Amino acid sequence: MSSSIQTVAEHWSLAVYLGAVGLLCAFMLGVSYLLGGRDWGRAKNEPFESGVSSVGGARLRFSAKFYLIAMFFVIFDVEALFLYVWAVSLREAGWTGYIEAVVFITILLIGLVYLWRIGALDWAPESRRRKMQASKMTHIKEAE
Amino acid sequence: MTLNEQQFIALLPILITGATTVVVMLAIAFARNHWWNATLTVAGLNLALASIILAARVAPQTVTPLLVIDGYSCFYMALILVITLACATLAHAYMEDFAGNREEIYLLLTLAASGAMVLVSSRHMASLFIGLELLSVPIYGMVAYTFRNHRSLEGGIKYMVLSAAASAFLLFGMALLYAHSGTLSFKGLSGQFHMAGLHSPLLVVGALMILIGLGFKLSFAPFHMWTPDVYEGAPAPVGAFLATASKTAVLAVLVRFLLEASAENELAMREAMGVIAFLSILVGNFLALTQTNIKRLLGYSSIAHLGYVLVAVVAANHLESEAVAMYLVTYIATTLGAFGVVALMSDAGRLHDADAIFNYRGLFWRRPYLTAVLTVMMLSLAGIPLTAGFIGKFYVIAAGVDAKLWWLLGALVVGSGVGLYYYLRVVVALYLPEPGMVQHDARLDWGQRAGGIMVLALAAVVLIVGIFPQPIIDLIRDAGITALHLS
Repeated sequence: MSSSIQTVAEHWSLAVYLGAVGLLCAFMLGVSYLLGGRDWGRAKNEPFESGVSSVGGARLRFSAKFYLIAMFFVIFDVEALFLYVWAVSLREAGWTGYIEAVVFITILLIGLVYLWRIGALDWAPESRRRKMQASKMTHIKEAE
Repeated sequence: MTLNEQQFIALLPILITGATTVVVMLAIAFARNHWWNATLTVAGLNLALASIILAARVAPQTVTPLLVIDGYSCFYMALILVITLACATLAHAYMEDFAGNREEIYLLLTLAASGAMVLVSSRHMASLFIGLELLSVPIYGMVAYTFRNHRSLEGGIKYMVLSAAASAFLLFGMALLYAHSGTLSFKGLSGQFHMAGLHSPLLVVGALMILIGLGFKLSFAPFHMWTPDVYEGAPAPVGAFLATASKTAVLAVLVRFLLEASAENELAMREAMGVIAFLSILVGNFLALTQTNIKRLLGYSSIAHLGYVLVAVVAANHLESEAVAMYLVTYIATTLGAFGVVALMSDAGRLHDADAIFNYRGLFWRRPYLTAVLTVMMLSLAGIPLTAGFIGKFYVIAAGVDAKLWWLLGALVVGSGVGLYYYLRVVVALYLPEPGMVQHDARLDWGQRAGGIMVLALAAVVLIVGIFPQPIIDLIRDAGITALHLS
């Protein structure tokens, strides 16, 4: 019986707490709205209005290569963590562990070969690479 | 823990599928050749399929605390490999004219297949989650594979975001179960469900959250919002995979969880599943009524069909897993066939798939055999006798009647009646006289190519199972699916 009363009390205190949080927020916003000063300006409604008017948009274009690097990090660095675990238990894991680690590393290696072959490791954008290839060709032709 | 030889043999199907992925990746790195890479994939998958015979000989084997290879998982692994093979042949036909990299879809396909195989043989929450993610993550990529088509990209992103939310539900449910019981294996949870039962809110809420997470992947009714958009966006072979392999694997693991953890004895669980089944049947069928896009229509119909299967799960009697397996076999053959025809009619070189019903208008006058295949599939989806769909529905109704689930059966009957309308609407369009606008068409020699032969074989399977179902029923019984109840 007493435990049920206790639960009810706990629920009540939580409800009162939540209500108090809501009231406090409303009070702070409401009072500052009523009492606070107001002034308007052309640059006042801009996001970065602290004295300096902003220039340009926030939507910069990043090269997608950065995402590629982040993905490489996730793939190879995080998977290398498994090798640390293997390294500290090398003797206990024995030959079975060794074979499994070899399989694991082989798969990673094949992944690397795949990435290399599809050109994910080439840093320059594809268009520039094509342009460079073309200019090299013209150089060779000129030399001839 | 080291594996002995028998456990290694039991794991062979999963290992070979995984190795196929690596080999195909290496082959793509070596030389990009669509035909070669597809052939390599198909060879690997066939090898895995053959190795199931070996695995079934040594079954049941418990491999680590995570996986168990028994008759049940062998049966579903075989189903998944067959589906993957079918989707690979469809993808080969579909991808022929794709402008981007065509080969990676096989990589994703085999990865998803290995995830599905882990899923059907898992006996632990950890392997359930790993399998589910390994199944889902490649599917995001596959849905968005033809990313120049903005619907495909949209579908991929939608599926990824919503799927992540569902995974969060699943994980939280697991955490609650673990908080109460300190174990994550299905067997360990079984003891907890027996002891605590309804009195433990943590267990009930945890199990229901797992039901929500899995229900999302199965697109049950309150969690079905993503289905039509993703099905519409996904390239047709991927849609076929999504509608069959993904659902088969998740449903198989759901049934195993319910049976092994005896979670279905929970009244709350069964009531929740009953409501979900009821809603799925009605929502799926009624929303399909106004669709003019055949992929969306198949999406809604898959919601309804999964609702039908859930009736058998709710029945929870001796017929349960047999009915589920039987219904899934018929549903897989039928849905693969229907998506297969859509895939043969479309190709990735065009901006849009041939997915509007008017694309199929008068198809009979141009491609009579392909039309016959689609007609058989639509009739089977509607559950007309002499097709496989009828046998599956018969099983579900038998299970439902046995458990006296009258209101669910009522929904099933109403749903089937409504379903007849929109399935037959597609059939009618096939035979209408041609208005003289040919936008999409299958290749002239579609019947001599791998995809076409596969679709014709599926139509034969649907008819044979419909007329003479005994062999497949025996197969399901032999697979020891009914034995799950006893264990």
